[in-house]
Amino acid sequence: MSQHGQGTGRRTFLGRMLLAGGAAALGAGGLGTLARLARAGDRPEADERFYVFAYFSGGWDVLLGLDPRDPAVFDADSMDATRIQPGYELQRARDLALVRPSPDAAAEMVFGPYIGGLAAHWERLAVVRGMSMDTLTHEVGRRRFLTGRPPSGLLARGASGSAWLAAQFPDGALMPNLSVGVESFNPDLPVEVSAVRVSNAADLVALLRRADPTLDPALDPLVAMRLADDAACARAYGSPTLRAAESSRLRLRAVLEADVQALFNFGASTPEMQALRARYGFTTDLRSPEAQAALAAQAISSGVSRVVTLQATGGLDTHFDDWQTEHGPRQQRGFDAIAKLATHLAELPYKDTGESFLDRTTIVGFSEFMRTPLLNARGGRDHWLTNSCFALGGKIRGNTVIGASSDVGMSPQAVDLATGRVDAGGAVIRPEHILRTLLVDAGLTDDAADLRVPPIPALLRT
Amino acid sequence: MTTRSIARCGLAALFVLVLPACAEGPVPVSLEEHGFGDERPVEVGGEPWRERRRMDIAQVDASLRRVTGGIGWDIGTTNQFVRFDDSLGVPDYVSSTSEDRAVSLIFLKFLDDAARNVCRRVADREGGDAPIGTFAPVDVDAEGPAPADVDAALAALLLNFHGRRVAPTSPALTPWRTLYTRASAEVAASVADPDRPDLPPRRAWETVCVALVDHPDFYTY
Repeated sequence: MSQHGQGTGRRTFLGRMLLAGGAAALGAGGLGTLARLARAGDRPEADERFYVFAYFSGGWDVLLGLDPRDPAVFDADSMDATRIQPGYELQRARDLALVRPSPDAAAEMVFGPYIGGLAAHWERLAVVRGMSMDTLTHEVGRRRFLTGRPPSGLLARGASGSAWLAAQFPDGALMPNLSVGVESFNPDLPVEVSAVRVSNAADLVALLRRADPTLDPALDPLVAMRLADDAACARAYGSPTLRAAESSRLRLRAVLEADVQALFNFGASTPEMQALRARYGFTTDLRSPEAQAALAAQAISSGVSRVVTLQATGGLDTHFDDWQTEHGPRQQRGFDAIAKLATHLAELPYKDTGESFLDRTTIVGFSEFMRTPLLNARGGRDHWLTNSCFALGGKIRGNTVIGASSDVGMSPQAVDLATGRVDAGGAVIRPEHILRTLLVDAGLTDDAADLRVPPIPALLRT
Repeated sequence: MTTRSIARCGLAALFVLVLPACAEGPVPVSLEEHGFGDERPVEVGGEPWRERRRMDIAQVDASLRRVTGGIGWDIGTTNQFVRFDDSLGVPDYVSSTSEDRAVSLIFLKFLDDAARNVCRRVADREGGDAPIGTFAPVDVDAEGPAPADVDAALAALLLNFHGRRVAPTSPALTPWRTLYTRASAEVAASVADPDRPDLPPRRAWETVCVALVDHPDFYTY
């Protein structure tokens, strides 16, 4: 596989940001934002980063995965006092137990019975527990994690973290910010880093290939020239909408000329695609978590994208007894898909650096909130304000658990951000802390994204 | 009588005194006399202005069918705008309730796909047995049509596709005339070029049609 677009320079990108994307930037962030981004671009090549955001849709049950409790301690007798009900014995699979990935793992590195293959990556994995989401609403929780800012009502405020991260690496990736089945926002930054959002791999292929019927090759450029002529007139230049349209048109031309659709044509019978399907374990369902994980691997490792956001799994909003039968397996399917992605990236060398793509790629797994620690009267779990997330690969400090939910009601707890230990004098971790940490690691040391929180030093390797 | 009672009585008396003045209607006030305001009308420019907005997908779909005389982006019986609605940002009212109307890369790609599909079928229909004029008042298979006929057809197309009323003699028509002329030259050249299939004249009008649909004046308002 070839590295796409590695030759385009930073100056080119920043020039494009100032010209084509100036409208959005000037509208919200202003020239100050562009200047900060330009400074962030002054980094050595050795600091290259890639990112995958894996969304577990519906609100996950962290007791089954990232933040478990020992059922021998948190049993029926103690439930009135602890307000925590692991409920493992109610699951369809009855032989469930907590998962401790290795005797060498940190003492806190224990997972619920549906952690799946993710536990095997414990050495590169950090888990953040006892976070506060400040909401019980799906859209609000999801959008807060995507943007690092509390929405205004249901409306997201500010650009997605994926857009901010893509803006830090102005290297000319074909589609710097790719989102599969997850919404994305960008009112602040140039249109170049807005997410290209598709619902599945098939739609991505449809985006990347020229559809039939095509115009004669001699006629096609005439259309492009007609559109370019009007885009250069004063009327178009004075309109942010028309400038964005021209910028998108030029990007589309570049995407089609790159002809990278074969990378994502998962239905093809080529040996490469057969091997990819076998590795991730999917056949025809191109919306599946496995197909999305494969898509992320292809986009990152081919240099097509800098940041990929995907929906690792769905159907987690189990208020009824489907919690007993469906929630755990669905959650595990997402963890397994991400584990396969991490394994794949770990096997792919990154240029001639001696490092793998996983060494350069940070994978963040999140959901909008956790489910209630007590079962409801219908045998399911409702929404709870607390949450967990995980980060894997890149410069993430592995074998690390940061924070903890309380042993009574699984409430958020303040954490010393330097040590990651629970500390009443510390700060309650929220999604913005995670995004700020990633942005600082990416070189954006000042708070250009206006997240208004410090990073979490304990989350990163020094 | 307490101080508070005296104050209440005073307020009531004041109210009674003021009431007749209200009944007489508003008292005219001279702006100059009071020294505020500017009686001159505010100059707002020749035309009221607002930023253009992109149509939503349902509007694009309906508009395309309207300007083509009923031909939409359908393959078989499947409306492709519906097939790709998730990627095009159409809300599903489960995970999203508002439509993404950015002029995004993926919107332009699928709009261009739609344009090529629809314009090929429109041109072939016009060049077939359909009466002239459903798409434009011109014989799309005529070789070397009169310039006045081309200008009239282009003016009709701009009105139909972009809602712009442009006189056939207007300079605003020039770039579209240039597009048609160059496309016609390419079509004519294909006859003599053994490496290219022989393009019928209607392909020049098809090229104009694609450009009209891909143009922001079609999908923004």
